[in-house]
Amino acid sequence: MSAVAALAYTYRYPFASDLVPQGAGAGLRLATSGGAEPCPYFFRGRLEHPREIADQLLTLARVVTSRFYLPGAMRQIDPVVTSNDQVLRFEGFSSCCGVYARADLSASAFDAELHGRGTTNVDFNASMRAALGRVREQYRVMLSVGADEVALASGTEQVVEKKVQLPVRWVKGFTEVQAYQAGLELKFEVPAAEARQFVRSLPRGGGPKTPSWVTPIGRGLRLSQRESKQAVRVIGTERLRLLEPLIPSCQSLRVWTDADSGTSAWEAVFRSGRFLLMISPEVWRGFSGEGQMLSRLATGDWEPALPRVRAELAWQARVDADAIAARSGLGRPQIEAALAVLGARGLVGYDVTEGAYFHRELPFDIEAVESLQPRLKDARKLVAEGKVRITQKQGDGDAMTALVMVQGTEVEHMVRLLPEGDKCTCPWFSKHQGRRGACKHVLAARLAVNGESADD
Amino acid sequence: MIDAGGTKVTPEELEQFVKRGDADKLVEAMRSLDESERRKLAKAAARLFRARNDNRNQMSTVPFCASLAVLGLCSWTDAKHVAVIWWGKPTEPIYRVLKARRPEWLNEWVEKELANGDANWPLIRRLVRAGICQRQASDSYVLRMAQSRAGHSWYDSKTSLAEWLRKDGDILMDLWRIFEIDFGREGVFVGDGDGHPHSWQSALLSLANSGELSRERMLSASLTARQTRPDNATFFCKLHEALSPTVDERVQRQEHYRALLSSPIPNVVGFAQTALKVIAQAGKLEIDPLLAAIGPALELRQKGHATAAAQVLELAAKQSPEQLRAVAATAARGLAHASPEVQNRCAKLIEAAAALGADEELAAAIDAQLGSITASVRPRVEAALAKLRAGSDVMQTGVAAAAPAVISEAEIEAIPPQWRRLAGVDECVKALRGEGDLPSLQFDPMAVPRLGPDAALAPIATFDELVDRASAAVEELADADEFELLLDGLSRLSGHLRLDFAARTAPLLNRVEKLIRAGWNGGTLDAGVRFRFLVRSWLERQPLPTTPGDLTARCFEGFLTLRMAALSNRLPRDLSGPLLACPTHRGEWIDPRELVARLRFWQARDVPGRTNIGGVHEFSIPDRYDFIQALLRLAPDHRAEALAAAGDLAGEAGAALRFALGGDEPIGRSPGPWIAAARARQPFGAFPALVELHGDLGPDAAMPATYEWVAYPHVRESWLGPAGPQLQIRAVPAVRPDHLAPDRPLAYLNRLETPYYFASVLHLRCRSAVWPANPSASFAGGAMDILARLNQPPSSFSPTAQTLDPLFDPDTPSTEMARLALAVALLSKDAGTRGLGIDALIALVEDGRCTGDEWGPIYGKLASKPEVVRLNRLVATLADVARVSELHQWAVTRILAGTLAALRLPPPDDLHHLLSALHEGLIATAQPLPPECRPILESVTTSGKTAKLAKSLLALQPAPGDNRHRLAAMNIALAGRVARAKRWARRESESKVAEVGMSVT
Repeated sequence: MSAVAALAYTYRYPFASDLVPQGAGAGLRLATSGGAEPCPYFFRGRLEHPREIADQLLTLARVVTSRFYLPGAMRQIDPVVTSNDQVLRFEGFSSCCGVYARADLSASAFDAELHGRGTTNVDFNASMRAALGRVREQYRVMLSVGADEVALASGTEQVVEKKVQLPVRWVKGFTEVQAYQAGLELKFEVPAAEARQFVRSLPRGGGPKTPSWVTPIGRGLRLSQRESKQAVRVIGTERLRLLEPLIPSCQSLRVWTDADSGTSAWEAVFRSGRFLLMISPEVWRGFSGEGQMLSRLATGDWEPALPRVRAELAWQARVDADAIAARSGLGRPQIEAALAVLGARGLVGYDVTEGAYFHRELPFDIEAVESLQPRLKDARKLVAEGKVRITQKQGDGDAMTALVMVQGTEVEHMVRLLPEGDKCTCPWFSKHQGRRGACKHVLAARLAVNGESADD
Repeated sequence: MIDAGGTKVTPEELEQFVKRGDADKLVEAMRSLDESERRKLAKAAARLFRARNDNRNQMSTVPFCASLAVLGLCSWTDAKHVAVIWWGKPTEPIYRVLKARRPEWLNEWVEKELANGDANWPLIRRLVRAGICQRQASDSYVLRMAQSRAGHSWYDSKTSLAEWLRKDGDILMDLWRIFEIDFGREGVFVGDGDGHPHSWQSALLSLANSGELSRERMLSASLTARQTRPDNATFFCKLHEALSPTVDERVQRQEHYRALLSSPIPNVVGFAQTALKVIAQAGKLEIDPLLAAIGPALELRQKGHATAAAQVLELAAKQSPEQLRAVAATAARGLAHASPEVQNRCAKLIEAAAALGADEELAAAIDAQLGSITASVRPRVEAALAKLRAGSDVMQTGVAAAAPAVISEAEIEAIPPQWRRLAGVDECVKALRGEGDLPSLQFDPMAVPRLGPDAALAPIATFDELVDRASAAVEELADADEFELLLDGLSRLSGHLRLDFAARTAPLLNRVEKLIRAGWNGGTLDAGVRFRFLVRSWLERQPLPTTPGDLTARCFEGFLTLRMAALSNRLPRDLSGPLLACPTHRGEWIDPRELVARLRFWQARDVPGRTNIGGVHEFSIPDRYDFIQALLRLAPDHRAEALAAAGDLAGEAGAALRFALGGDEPIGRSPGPWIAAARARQPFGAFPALVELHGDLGPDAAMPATYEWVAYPHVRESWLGPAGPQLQIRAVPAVRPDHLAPDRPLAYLNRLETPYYFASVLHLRCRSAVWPANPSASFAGGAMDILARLNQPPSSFSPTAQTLDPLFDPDTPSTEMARLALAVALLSKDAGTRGLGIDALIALVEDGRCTGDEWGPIYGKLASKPEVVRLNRLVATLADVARVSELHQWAVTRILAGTLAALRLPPPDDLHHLLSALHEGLIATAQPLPPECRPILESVTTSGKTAKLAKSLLALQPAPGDNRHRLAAMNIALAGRVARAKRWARRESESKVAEVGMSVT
């Protein structure tokens, strides 16, 4: 797969999202495109805390228009919204694939008239964003996601069509980021005043080139350049400044981290819900290509559970793995593995606060992406071409060790499959030491040792 | 054949017209063709268009004529590829072609052109005016109009933009759309609004004043303009002010001003506040909606805008005293602002509201901000809070950090007196009792134990581990310990030849070859790059190629390169054994007993070429560098035991080692090893015998180096951009060329010449690792590096922060050069360096090495040169340190006071930053103004912020008997010193039972 591989995608909105005067207040009309229907209409309600929600949507808009690392002509991919009875979730992903954001607006944030189910794209145009900036807490604001057929049939609206090339790495990142969330651990929760002081103390302009460490200080947080056990690793502190507009109105700030991967998530807690900002381990490394799912995909222990788990999805705000286990007779680990794979296919997201997956279906052609997992594809090819040779194998299950020779481009690599972690002699492994997922040689060795043929 | 104006046009003739670049003839030839005739020539035109750039002459008109031919003959499929850029080409032929043809795709083409940043707006406007294409409604039409100033040339000195617009006539109605659309990221009005007759502001003003555009409408439209880019938004604010609205006109538009208070653009908020102030001064504010809107402005980072918001609130309270409580509740948000000035204004409103009586709601609003209130404002707010809570007790709040547990006397008594005294516990106890001041901790680094089991390094154990770690290291290597362990691994394990050696190492060899080919290796002595060569030499079983002598002789890295060269010479000969200089413990320390064992191993080994390897004592081989490095890393622990064990070591090497360990040996004939032995024996001692035998050997040889330094403000231009101020540090005694020899690394470290432009983290760490007992020379070099990049952003090519790494070892003394390096790091613009500086200062304060009193002279001396010390940056940096605990706040206040006292007259322009922070610090720590600060404050004769603050400081009187803060600070200091003393005591007892673990096999 080339670096520029992309999926052609067309947003076709029946009108442009806008904020228009509506009686004594204003109406925030979000145009929708894609999903189960061409232009679904599944939410209408009055915002209880309009300024807070406007701030969250504006921050989400900043995320999707941001690019913290060079390339890509793509500037903005519209956010997606998922609605169910309990929560309205807006998700966005930066063009550089290194920042994921989600605004989870709870049912208490609305006086809802219509609360349907589904996932779709929403138009976040510049005019609407500018208007959102002027929303005030005292306004009476009605939010609608989509529009009813009567309104659309009036014919006064102008269709907005946007053709974009969605880079495969962007779509992959958007889906794989869910796998990271499942591994996050809550490190700190600080009150709003301390959060404000911390965000203010972040470097203006270019931050440090080396990792920084967020460490506790009294009731608050401090940015340090020294690693410590209690600290959360951050690189690209300019990405954290996306939170700045949210901090004055939030109640507290939670910091989550996955020490193994170096990912961190920053969750601003509001009266109206929560806003999660998740940043990748390096500015130049997006969430795609991290290969967090590859080992799991290569093992295949999730496959029997997948159809059963998928059948259980019904737009839940919280997928209850225990309940599925009880109904299906499957083991909890199998269900978790199947949910993780479904996450990689864009069919579920992960809510770190709830500690559970939620059902949502990204309105993109994810299957086309999955087939492009380059490392796994290459690994299967190595097996198919007979370039994998098992020289030693001892033990079984988790205690299994094996020495496998895998033919590389110019030399033969030695792969050691070990209970404490696999090792390979290739440059990818030498450079990343397994932190960015298994290399194709390790995957090929695993496939060969598990007895999987290339066709599987 | 086609008849065109009486002549027939064939595809060949068309080609001739295009290739000759004859636009006029081409246009004429196409003028009267009907569509079917055009279709027949379309193919030829498209072919010519595709080949239009074959002629690479930039001045050629062929591409232009090919484009004309397509516009005149082809369908949309080809026409959509034609772009008529704004500059360089005449528009007349294009206009004539399109006018004659009026293609059905014209509107589509115009739309496409408008989407292009280089769109030819005058041509499009002409087409619109002539009715050839339809009137344009798109945003991009307005954007291009605004960008191109409606096609008006900046160089047209005779016609102003207003006149140009008047000439067009119809365009005036389109101008309103400029107020309606958001230009997004396009910088449309950059540099506009300066009153130039060609500017949009002048043109719109002129049209409004003449009545051609409604002034009333423009006043409102300029307030509702939607712009997300700051300079575009600011343009409309300036335009609004240029229209000189009357007070009544402003009052009518109050709602618009209020709406702008929520703008994400600070300048727009500032503009709205100014307008609201005018309304407030007229007493016509609508208070309730204002209070609902102005809160976020009080939290703006920009102090000026937040102050303006507070001023508006003051005016609102004055206009409507009955709403004072509501105003104060809004003002409570301003208590979270970082500036004491903003907080002060808001506190005044709160105090006024508190005078009215209890108000729980207001009290709750203030409560939420208490953690952010500065020391000077806090007592007033707390007093107001007490009144608002109907006379309840004043809240006791303080710095957020939890107070440490008080150390009991029994706990202190249990520490061995030797360590208690050395760690400054006794003097801290006295300070806690109020029996004296607390100075920074000074200790002899050779008097404290360095080797604890927690710091022991594990050598590389197996061949597989060596290959794995070398594979990772050739990709990236930044750790000096790992570097040395790898050298040791190669030295010990390279002789373990296996049958599968080639197969096992083939991927590494392949990779290292590629990295060497791809990298910038020529001439660099960077340790990471040289390591790749060393790995290749090991795998290919060839010695390293000779490094050019001039390179090795230029800097301390040459010494490192020579160590690697010696190792590579040994590898192909299967002479494996331990690396003498490999540290046994973190911090680059070697257990002396281990070094004795290693040397004995080599001396005992019966190998071919013994004089070269086993004869380290002969100093005739490259391994002498490894031996010299090993001596410089000798830890102070276990020296007596090691000396006793070293009695049988042969030759000059044995004698030098015994001398380093404290033995009574005469100085030998080779200066290099004996200098190292002397420095290992006593890093700060004097050795006259060395001078007697070898003459003057330079700094850190017979005599310890001291340093003289001076900062220069000059900016030195280079191809890398403007460099910052420079720091010149000179070692005393000075380094002379004859002091520089490959086996005298300390002379190179003390040479202190031009900072490196390209360095690596490993380079900085290796520099610090040469002589862990006294990293002063490394700190001095680091200080020069940091100051050279003082005002430059972080760079991966010139890292500077890691110079400070040794300071994180609490047993590294805070020498003058260490303080200088840290002092300049705290001034650095590089967030990484400054951040690490903050971490280091926090650590130094915590463990007692800094109480702030030695820092004033350094900053005073640096500030004596312009451009070196930016007081705002220093104050902001120190504020981050002060937040940590009462002790840190106390130490930072002393640093600020010391700096103020050391400043030379006349005081710097940005002195108010320092004074403001010192004012807050002295109040928070309940300290009086040190008398030595008075002269400079009394010298301030000007008015303004500085004078006001100087006056406040001179009048400052701490509350008598208030020593809560000092006690808290001293308790934390005591905890830090007790922890240090206990650590030393523990290490000593642990080392008594620890066995030396030989790693020689």
